Amino acid sequence: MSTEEASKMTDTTETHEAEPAQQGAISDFGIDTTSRSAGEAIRDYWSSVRGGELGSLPALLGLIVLLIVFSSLSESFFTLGNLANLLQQGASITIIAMGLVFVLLLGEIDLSAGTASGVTASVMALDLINGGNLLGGMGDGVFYVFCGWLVLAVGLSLLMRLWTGAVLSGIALLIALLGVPANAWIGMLLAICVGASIGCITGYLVAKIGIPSFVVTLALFLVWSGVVLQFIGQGGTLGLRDDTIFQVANGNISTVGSWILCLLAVGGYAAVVLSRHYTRLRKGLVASPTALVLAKIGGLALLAAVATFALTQNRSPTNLVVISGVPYVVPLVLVLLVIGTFVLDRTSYGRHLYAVGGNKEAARRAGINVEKIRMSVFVIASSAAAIGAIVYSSKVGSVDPNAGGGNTLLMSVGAAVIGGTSLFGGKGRLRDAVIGGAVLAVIANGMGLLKQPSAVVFMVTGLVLLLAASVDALSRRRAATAAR
Amino acid sequence: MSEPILELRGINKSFGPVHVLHDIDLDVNPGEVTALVGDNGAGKSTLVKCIAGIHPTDSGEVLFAGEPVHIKGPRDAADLGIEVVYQDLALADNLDIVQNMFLGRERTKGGLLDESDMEQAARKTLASLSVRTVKSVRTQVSSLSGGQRQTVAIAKAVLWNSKVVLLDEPTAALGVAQTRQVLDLVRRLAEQGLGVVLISHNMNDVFEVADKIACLYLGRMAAVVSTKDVTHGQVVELITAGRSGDLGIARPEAATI
Amino acid sequence: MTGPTSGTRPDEIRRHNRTALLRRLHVDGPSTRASLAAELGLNRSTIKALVDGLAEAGVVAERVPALRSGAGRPSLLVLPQPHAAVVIAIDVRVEHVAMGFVGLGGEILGRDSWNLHRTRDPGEVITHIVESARLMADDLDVTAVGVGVSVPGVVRRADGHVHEAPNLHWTGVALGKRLEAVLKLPVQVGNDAELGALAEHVRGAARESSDMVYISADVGVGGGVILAGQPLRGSGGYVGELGHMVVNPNGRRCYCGCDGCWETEVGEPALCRALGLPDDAPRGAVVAALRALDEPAVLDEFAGWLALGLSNIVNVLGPELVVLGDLYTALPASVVDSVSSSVQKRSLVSRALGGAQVVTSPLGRDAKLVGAAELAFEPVLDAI
Repeated sequence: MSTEEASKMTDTTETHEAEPAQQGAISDFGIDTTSRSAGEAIRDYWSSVRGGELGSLPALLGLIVLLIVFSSLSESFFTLGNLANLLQQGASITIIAMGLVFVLLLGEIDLSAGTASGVTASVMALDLINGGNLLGGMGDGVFYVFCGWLVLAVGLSLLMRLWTGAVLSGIALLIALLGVPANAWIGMLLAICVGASIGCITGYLVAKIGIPSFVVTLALFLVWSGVVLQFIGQGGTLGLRDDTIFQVANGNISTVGSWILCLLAVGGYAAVVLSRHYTRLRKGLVASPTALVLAKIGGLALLAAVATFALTQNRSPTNLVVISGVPYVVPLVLVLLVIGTFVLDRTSYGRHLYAVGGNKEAARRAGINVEKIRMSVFVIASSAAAIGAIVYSSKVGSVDPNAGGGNTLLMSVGAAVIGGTSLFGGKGRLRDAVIGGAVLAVIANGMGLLKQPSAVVFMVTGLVLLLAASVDALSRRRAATAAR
Repeated sequence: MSEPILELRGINKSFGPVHVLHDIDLDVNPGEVTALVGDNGAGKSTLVKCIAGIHPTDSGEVLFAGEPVHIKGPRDAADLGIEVVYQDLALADNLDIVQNMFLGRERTKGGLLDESDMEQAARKTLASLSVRTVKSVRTQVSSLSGGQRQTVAIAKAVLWNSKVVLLDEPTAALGVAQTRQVLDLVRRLAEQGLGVVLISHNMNDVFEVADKIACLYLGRMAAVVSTKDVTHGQVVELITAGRSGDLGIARPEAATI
Repeated sequence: MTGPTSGTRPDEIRRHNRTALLRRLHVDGPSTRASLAAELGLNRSTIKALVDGLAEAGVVAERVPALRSGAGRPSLLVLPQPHAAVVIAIDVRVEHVAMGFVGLGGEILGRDSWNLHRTRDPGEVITHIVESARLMADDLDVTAVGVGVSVPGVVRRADGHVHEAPNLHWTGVALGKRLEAVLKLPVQVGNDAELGALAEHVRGAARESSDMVYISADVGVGGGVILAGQPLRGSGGYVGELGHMVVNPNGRRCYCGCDGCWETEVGEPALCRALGLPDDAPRGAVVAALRALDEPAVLDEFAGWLALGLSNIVNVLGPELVVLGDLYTALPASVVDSVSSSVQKRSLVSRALGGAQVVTSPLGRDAKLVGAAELAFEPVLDAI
């Protein structure tokens, strides 16, 4: 068969496909060209779940169970005030976890994300406290090392042609060298850019030098703990008195703003889902039943409306002040989730990421620049960690030498894994981190309300993580046997 | 008119002190299946990886459609129209058929992946090869059988309108029936005018589809013969001893370093 | 295709309708019940009863169509289920044998092929066919119900006796009987060009044409003719050696004994000569050369002979469509177009018909395999 003729065949298929219903290209891949009824779609989903494709289903179920349990045990759990508080408590871990999903997708790990976030938070705090004079805040020697670090990050990213990394590190360098007057926004930008520069160097060590990510990030975990101490000084704290920064984790959107956000979120979701759905239908590709798609959108709209309504009520425990509106962290997490999901699902970069995570060698042979992809995920993780750092510093109102230390990192990894991200790479989605983060926040919050000691909280959290990891391992085994 | 699509001239390749390929000459003609046979370690896979740009060559010349070319990486080979189907590691298990077929060369529209376009193209390509053994092009590769995986890998070559397809032991891990399906696909690739290089251990496979047999012996090209002119026995002798009657290297013992 | 309808009992009518419905689904692919009712002239309740019966037997399935026109509840599509009836199609060629397992609806479920470089001995070919058939049946987990074979030679349809297949060097081979004996299945054997014509008529370019000629070039040139929807067969089923029509008395000697047969001017060797390839170049090399052709002028003489022969054929048979198959499908579109217009201008009958179209086959290399499958399906559809 010649190409010409193959293209001719293609043409005939095309014309057939343009014809409404009836006959045509249906004979090829029968399943692909006929739609499924709602019942069949649900059955298909069920069979894929039974085949080991669990996704975030166990975490969602777990979240619902936890909500029911805590609501029944504690009267104050299911109150508006507590739920809003819960969102603000869980946000930083969730954001760091979202960044880590990128790393986990490659089957790598970033143990240093927690303490790295501490570094970015303390740089931000130093910048704000010293009115933009980092040289003064750090002292000469430390400042020059810091600048040298940023130059190195720029250089390495240029070497790897990772332009985003180079630009972000460059911005951090400029802010530091020019001594730009302090400003909450500049401070936050600086934190994110410093985060990116940390990621550039971690990524380079893993991707180009070839040191296992576990070792690199374990070493850097220790290094960053030391750096935070150096920046803040033993026993000290850096207070954040800036109102803008305080609002990030503690502020709420006005009632009108909340409803606009709700409309934007639901409308945007509906527009994306429906346009994709109808494109597929128009091109004669298999699509979920329209009824099911509409039901999904409707369900989400209802949920969003109920949540918005609840959060726009006054939830102040006293009559002295009025607290209402959706917390700022909600749109922040949503925007990061949407952007990240878009990058993972709809861009070549995201596709390559999954490919490298699934089979590095196949990706390399397909002409994908594996090293660059591996480096880039560390930049993303550290930048996300910086955003998480801004949120937790804002919540506490200060940065202390323990910032980002302790179990920040492990909780974030736990959030991603509980949500359904696989530690073996290649499998996971951003919303996993959000769901997992919610599970951990609910446990911490609920146990706190029940006046349980930290000992119990840690043990329960650990067991939940163990449970999630077992579900992942078992479903993998199931999927492996199903494939045979 | 019938000039080779791919010509190798005096290819040498060493890994450290080990000289793996000695002055390899090979012509791949469009529309022909050229079988590359040889014992384990004769250098078959190395040769293919050199052509694919995975290993750089030490010396020698590669001509594509009569023009000298320098293949520095898998991307260069793909851009020329050389597609390689590896016996392993060819596909990412966690992606579906469409995603694998377009891996590294995704179609985008406004910076975003054009999924429906890719899906249609993949489906048409598979249908044009009358590959109908997979239920849906959105099936994850992890749930495909060995034969189906090879089919997907080979279909990639057609999708990209490749001129040359190199298949490294495409049937090594397959059962008899699946092997035949893959060989049938290999033949049909050649009938579409592609130059096909098939590495195989299996003499039956070779004689069923190949037009020409190239025998490697200890890193040297012992002989390139037309399938019509030789017997199983002669090819086996060429593989094991480097010569058979008038065919092969003049003094094979000289080849042993 | 079955007998008269007068005086038949209800269950026979039902049987007849069922076969008609199956044939419609098998040939034209999935349809809605509504369109089936309209096309077969049956009322909806009859169609419902038939479809339900077939669905219960697992021969068809009903699904929601992906493409929908208008609003409202979509009409369900009736899809033939390939595994409900599977036949073995075998295409014996000069250079190789291709075979496929073909399911109801024309889906090729699995295929195999092998070179005939070394031996064309009928015994060995049959052995290989049988071995492959068993392997594939196991692998696909299907049981075939019939066999169709395409052979490039003169074939007696009644018992599948190959009288002569010159390029294969076969004479007097009882292919049908021998295959039946080992495969234990009904075997139909047909001439390759005739089966190519059947394939084009059922699934290819000539679906809408009741008068068509199929011309294909493999090593030799053959032709199949369908007139008024029926294949044209001479006495005893021997017809269609269009390639041995003498067009050039001063031309080359043909192996059949004549000088200047059409085949010597438009066969594969002639094409190879025009392209500057050796006579025995592999098929793929010819296709590759045609694809890479940047000077279509080298084919002018070849195209001239093609147009001349086709004009004769159109004048004699008066088809509305001529389908060029096999190697001809690789010809550049410009060459086919010029041949088509040349035939239209030159042929008296074509002018009278308002222009006989010359097109290339969309089935390409598979035409004869598809034809062999349809040949095998003919008796099967009544029996499911």
